[in-house]
Amino acid sequence: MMNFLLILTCSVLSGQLTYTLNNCLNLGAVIASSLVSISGGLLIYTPVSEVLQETLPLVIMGASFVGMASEEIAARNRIIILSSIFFGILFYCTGVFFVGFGGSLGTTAAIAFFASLGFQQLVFKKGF
Amino acid sequence: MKILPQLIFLLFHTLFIGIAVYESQEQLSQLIPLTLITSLLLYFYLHNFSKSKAPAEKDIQISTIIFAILGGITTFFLQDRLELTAVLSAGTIGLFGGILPKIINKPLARIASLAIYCGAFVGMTPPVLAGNYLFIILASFSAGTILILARKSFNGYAGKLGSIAFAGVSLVSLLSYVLL
Repeated sequence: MMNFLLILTCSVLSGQLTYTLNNCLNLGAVIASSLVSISGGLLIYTPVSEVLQETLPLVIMGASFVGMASEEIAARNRIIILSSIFFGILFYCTGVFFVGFGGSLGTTAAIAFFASLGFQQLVFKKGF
Repeated sequence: MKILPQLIFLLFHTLFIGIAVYESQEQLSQLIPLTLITSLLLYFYLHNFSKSKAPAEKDIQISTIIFAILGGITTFFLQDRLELTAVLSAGTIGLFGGILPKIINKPLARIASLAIYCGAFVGMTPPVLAGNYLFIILASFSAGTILILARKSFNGYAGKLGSIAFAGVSLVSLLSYVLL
């Protein structure tokens, strides 16, 4: 349970940070995501548990893909927060099935983002 | 032909989440959220199929494939030879690609940036799974080709490049499974 909450927290923070760097500071999606990913990747050199050293960098990198969405598509911050939460849930549930498969983190991020847009259209019809 | 890229995305997304749902059959705590997210994903596709059209970059098709292969090979090299983690390898190569449009103000640099990052996701495949550089080259080639096909679809949507990389890796994995 503790790990799940940590995954969700890291996911939301990473998504938000990337979205801010991308759209508010205009660094561009690729630079924003790669900077956040490198920061997450450096966690292996910190004294956290071995499980978290393996998991958290992947969560941070994957959630940074959510933040790569452009302002035109994800006009509201809440979409990024919901997508990041969906990403955390999907990562927690699917992490083991696709370990090491290139592009699996991005696919998880895309599914989380598309599902959030689906939620927005279903519940709020237009805006969220 | 117009809806081909969207069909590719739909196919690989449903394949991905379908396997996850199948594997979680006996764990209700995982099955419920996965089913909910799958329903929302399908609702999104039902209501947006063929609507997602955005202006594309000027077509520079061969370059896209070359940059995707470069991104894949260099990321794989950092993992395989320099023993960096997959996240650090892809992040470093992605950052290098991302800086290009800031230095060189040409459409080619922007295409290179996206293609290199897409290739980097392919290169994250661990050496144990990929086996050799040929796998990475073929998977990056497939990803580059899909990137060209999907250049007018889902621009600005999160996870587009990763989904393309996943499709490339899956296709080559399937091909090597069938042929070898």
